[in-house]
Amino acid sequence: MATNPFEMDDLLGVYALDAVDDDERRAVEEYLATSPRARAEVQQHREVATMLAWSGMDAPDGLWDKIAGSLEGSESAPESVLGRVLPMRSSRRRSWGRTAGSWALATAAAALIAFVAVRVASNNSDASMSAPIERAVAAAFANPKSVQAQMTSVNESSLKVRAVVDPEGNGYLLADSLPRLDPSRTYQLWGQIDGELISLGILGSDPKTAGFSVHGKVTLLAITDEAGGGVISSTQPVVVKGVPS
Amino acid sequence: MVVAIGRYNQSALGEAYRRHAGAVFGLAKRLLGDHAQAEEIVQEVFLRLWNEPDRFDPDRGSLRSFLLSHSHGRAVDSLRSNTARRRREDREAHLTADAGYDVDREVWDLTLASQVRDALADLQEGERVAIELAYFGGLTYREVAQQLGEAEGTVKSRIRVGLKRLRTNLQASGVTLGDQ
Repeated sequence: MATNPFEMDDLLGVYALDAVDDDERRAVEEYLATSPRARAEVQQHREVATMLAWSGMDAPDGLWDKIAGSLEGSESAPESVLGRVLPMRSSRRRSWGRTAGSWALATAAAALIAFVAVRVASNNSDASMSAPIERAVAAAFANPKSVQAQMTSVNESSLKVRAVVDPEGNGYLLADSLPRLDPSRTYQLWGQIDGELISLGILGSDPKTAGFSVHGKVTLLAITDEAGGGVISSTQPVVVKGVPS
Repeated sequence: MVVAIGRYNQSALGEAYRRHAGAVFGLAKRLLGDHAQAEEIVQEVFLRLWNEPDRFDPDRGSLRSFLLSHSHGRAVDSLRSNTARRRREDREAHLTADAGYDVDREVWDLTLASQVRDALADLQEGERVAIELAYFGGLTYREVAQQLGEAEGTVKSRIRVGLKRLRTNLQASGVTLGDQ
């Protein structure tokens, strides 16, 4: 076995590729502990090997879910503790009316539009985001299969709302930047799914973090300012909008 | 990002996974030839990063290199176990009969493939083959020497010199090492 620095240096390349036996590995590691130059060389070899390993392939489906499920303290989305559920007047979908000043909004008959919106649960300004919600939001953002949207306003660059929808259709909004409305008014969330813009729920006058559910692929998210209770078909301009990706 | 992971920020770990899990899985699968075992290694690598983020020292290289090095080491350990060795021997026999250790076929990333291919092509044949057998075959340099009928010292030297030359070639072609 190598005993002097010259011989040990000769092992650095094969050590970096894990091509040494256990005894040599231990010997090299003892040597590395004493030689910054040798450590740097091994690291350089490993960086080169990294390039060889570049496969361009994807990790298998579902693998992230297994990892996330193993993380200490992780929990699934806590639907039952998302805070009060703001009532919608009915479970029917609400479409957005087409106006000259806003983007195109279909008003197809409710029965023909794919089922989507269910409810929006919102934490308003009087309560900070609770830990379970925070974890649920973090998990959704961490999930590589989630879609995310940065919703922004056309006129006011300061208005930015982040949204995420996980593969199960659990969606979350981080809406801190939205200005507080008069209590008689509410923000309303809209989503475009299968080409239809429908209401995903009402958010209240001062939303901070909100959860919502969708069934289908969301291709656009938008928020409008509506009269309290929300509307079935909006004619209001968009406050913020974003394309999930 | 790793600082964030150290604070148990799951989204940061998710981002690390998004960026590097494919390569980690690809390397493990290539070495082991077994989908399930490769998945286990990916899980182990990322859970280790989550549980022991301090083991990664950004001053000593990129996160990608850290993850791939861990993945490679674990895959080699697994290969060298008795049960895995039998599978590897079967796989080697298949690979040898099929096409040998042709790294050109295994470098998939479209952005880097041509640069890596060119850098490899500039190596001497003996250097390239020794690196491929050691890194992708999971062989020790002694096993490489035996397989090639070369002296152990020759193989050690070829691998070390080859890696240095490969680094120089990659940098000359514009690849920024340690920055992925």
